[in-house]
Amino acid sequence: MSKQLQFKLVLLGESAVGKSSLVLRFVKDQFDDYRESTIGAAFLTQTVTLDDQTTVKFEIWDTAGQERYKSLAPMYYRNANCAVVVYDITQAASLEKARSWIRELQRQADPSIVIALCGNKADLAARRQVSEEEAKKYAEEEGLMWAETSAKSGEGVHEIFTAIAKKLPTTTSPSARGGARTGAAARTGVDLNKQAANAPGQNEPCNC
Amino acid sequence: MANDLYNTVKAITRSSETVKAVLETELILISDRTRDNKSYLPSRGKRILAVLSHTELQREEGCLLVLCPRYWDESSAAPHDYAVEEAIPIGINFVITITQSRRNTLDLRPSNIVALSQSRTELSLAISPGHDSAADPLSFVTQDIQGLQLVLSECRRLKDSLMRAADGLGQTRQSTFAWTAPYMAKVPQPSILTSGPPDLRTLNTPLHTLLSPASAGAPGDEASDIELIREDWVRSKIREELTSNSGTSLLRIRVGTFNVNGKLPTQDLSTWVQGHRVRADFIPPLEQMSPLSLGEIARDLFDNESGLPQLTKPESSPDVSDGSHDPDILVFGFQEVDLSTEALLYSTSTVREDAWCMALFASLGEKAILYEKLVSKQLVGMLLIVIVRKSLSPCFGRLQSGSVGAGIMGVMGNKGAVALRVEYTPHSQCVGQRKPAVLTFVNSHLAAFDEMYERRNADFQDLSKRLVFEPGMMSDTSPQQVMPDNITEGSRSVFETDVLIWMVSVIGLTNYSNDSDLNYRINLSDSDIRGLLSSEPDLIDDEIRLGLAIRTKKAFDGFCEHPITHLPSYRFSMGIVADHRGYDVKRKPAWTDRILYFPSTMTACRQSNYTSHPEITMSDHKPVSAEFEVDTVLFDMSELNACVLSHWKNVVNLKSLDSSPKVRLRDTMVDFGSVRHACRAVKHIKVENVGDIACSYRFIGATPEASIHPEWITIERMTGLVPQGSDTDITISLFIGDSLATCLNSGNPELACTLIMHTAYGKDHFITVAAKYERTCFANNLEWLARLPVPIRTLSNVDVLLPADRATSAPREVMRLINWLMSNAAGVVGLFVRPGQPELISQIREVRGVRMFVSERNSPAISAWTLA
Repeated sequence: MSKQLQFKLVLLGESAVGKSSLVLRFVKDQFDDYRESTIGAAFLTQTVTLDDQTTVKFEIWDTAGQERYKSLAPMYYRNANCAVVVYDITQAASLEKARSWIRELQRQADPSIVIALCGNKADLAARRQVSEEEAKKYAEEEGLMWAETSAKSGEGVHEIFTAIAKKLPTTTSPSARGGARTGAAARTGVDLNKQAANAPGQNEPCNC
Repeated sequence: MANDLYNTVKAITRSSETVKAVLETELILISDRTRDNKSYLPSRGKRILAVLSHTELQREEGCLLVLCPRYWDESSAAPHDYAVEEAIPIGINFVITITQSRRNTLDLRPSNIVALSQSRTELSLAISPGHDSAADPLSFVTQDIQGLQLVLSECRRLKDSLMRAADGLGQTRQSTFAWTAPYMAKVPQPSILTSGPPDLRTLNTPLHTLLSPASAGAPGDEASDIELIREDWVRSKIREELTSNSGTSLLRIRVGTFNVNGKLPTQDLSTWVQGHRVRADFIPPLEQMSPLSLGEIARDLFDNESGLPQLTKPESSPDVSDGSHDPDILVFGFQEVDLSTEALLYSTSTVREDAWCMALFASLGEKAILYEKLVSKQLVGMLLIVIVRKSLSPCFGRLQSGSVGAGIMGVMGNKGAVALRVEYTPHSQCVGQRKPAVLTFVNSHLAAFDEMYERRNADFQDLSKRLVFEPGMMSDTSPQQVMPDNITEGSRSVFETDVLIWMVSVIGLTNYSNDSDLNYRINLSDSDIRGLLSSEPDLIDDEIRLGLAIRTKKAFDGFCEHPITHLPSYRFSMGIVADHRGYDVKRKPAWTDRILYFPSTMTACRQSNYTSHPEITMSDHKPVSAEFEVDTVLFDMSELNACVLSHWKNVVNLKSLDSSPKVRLRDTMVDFGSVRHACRAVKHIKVENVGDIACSYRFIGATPEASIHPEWITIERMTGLVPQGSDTDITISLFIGDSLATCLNSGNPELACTLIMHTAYGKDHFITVAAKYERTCFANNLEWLARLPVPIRTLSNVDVLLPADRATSAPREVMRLINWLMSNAAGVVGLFVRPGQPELISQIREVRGVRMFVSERNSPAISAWTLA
């Protein structure tokens, strides 16, 4: 029997790095050239089916990147199972901002939170200011997942969310709703642990 | 005809499905076959069957929809007036059978006889979904043979295609029929049309406090929230659009409550029953006379500015004609009608009820012929009688009664309440049915508990929770026929009404020596009360009145009571141990008999009179009466239907699988600029719905504990709904009160906050609000003010304040004022008494802030202000 898991995911990062575009690509496979700045926090859901027929439903909170709304961010990463911290590879400052978000998450979010660092706008590699090596090195030091993506071309977007889904603990799902699901998870517990143990192996950074 | 049907179905289905066949049928209710034909409702039987097909990944799946008319008035049914009642997937076990219908099942329906005689053939079909064998198959009859054939062939084809697909894939892909889910979802109905009035208590509560708890990032129970918001929105639309256009019908209600202490009627009750003063031909009762002589009553002791028209205008001659000022409804509540012990155990005859009823009619005098008893309800000692004007009696219907015991062991009927519910449908000039108004009357007899308010309050809450009208619990004495559409009702609270009038008699169990019992009594020592009552009682002290009101409010939260202008109604002594007004010297006089009403935002209810009747001396209580004028809005049913539906169809879909709600806020940065103490500033935010579906919103706090907005802000519409393609305005107003001004004067004058507007199933929108406070010399403490080196408005930083030991002896603002007063005050008329002109005051507040010269002509205003 296939399992259904549900996780809360939050997107953080500086303004205009492409958080909303990334979500739009992931959820609707669309891209807008002109997108208004997010003023608030948008809620979307998307389901990912893993190889073993496990379905992972992401409840995604796409937050506002602007500094003035920073004080509200903790409300959205509170109880989140995973966070995607986005920077713009063409803006060196945005990686700095990402670092500060990651520090905040490590300090204040749920200790078991899975954090992915995501370098967006990979299609603009010609204007690159952040090298792959630099970001990758930082991610390895901090034990984060890392990938470069392009919301515009779609490159790496689905992969990073799938990688997160694989890395998330599959035995229990804190935000799973309803007894039936929890029961199903408990019954097949042994196999799933195996799967979870395998997960980091399959979870090498994406091929980008 | 078939084309119409097709379009109706098409309007309901999504574009991803195609309509294969439609059929008009009538549903055979199970109850029709077993019960007699009385309960049959012609309009409820009509159903449309439709076969839908959905193709996905080269697989075709089918579904049979059963559509029912959404509202009973089917004559004007437009496509949106149908709703999906059932969606039955055409799965492997789907079975549809046809039989020749038996005539006799149909002959029971009078409405169908004509149709039957015309039809040549009629076939019945039974549909069983298969997956749930426990469920009875749905049965229909139809005369449309061609349509039926098409439905059958489509069903067969879809089932076959499913079986083939299943065989081909070897069961690997089980069909889920996930696409039928939107049809299976129950389509919500506007409760304004389908059920009675909402609970008055919730109607008077701000909606956002009733919604599920939610905060940023943690939306609450969206499904239930949007339902509440939608109901509220539709109701407010109706109020806006119809209430002003519809006329109102005035209903006069006279209410009386009387704790009779087990006595049978031995006195003329006409003053209490009719309300006008005792006429000259009044024959004094043979029993003991009231200690209050008739002469005293005639002095109109209790008449004050509230006006007691019936008492002050003596009726010269009895007006037997249908006087327009006579009440339309008379409601009388009695307590302690039967004090016998056996009455607690088994219900006795209606002897006592009949006696009191006769006494009431006798007291109506010549007018008795104009009235008739509508309904009554008795529980042991509590009796409630509703008498109506004969000419209006056809307007009353759907009588329901309820009772609850709260006496011995919390259940016996020596204490408790009885209630009657009556629907009043006003006469209408034009054709068309009116929406009935629901009137509820409760007569309760409560014990006042000595211990504490909380206990009694809880008892009252418990009583009001248990006091319900069960479905179908029509009063036995109801002369009206039972309306047909009560089949689906659940039990109703007494608060689910348009008008609620509550009579209460509370008996303290304590001796008067126990001063802790303040329940419903005045908080004064016994001698003080008697002193007060023996002096001129035309003034009952405001303080006492207030105390009474507050105490009553604690138990009867949300109820209103007219100010009491009469003397305490308890306890009178029949014997010799009475003071000169007849009060028992052993008991503290108390207002134990009260008439309260629950205010409603939908139906205006005014009380014009509230008095006791000291001339009736037969009991240890005095009867109390009140008069109400109720404006029932004359909603035309068809107009109401149309209005509700026109709004409802815009907001029926608040959740869609295909798209999420999208709204755009015109301005997410609200800057009030510079703001001042005690000046209200207002800004509007336009919310446009730019999505494909209607969207409901609510404001939420950042954390579950946080308030939704800071105290200096008020949001006019904390919850709301924006139909697709339209927009609405949210009003944000800012007001800085004294306490906040004090903080801001000596602290950081920058005000900022972020409001969070949550849209259901969608986004949290942030609205940042900013303002800069202009310091003022008002709302400061004088010591602080005295330390100011510069005018307060120019104060850039609180660090520049003079140290406390170098402060000036008094604030300059005050000194200047005193100076002026010393020289000019004598010449100003009404100084300190007359309030200044508002315009002038605001001007002065300004100049005070920057310490400008105050011209002489402004002075009365400023003195009024500063010293206020």
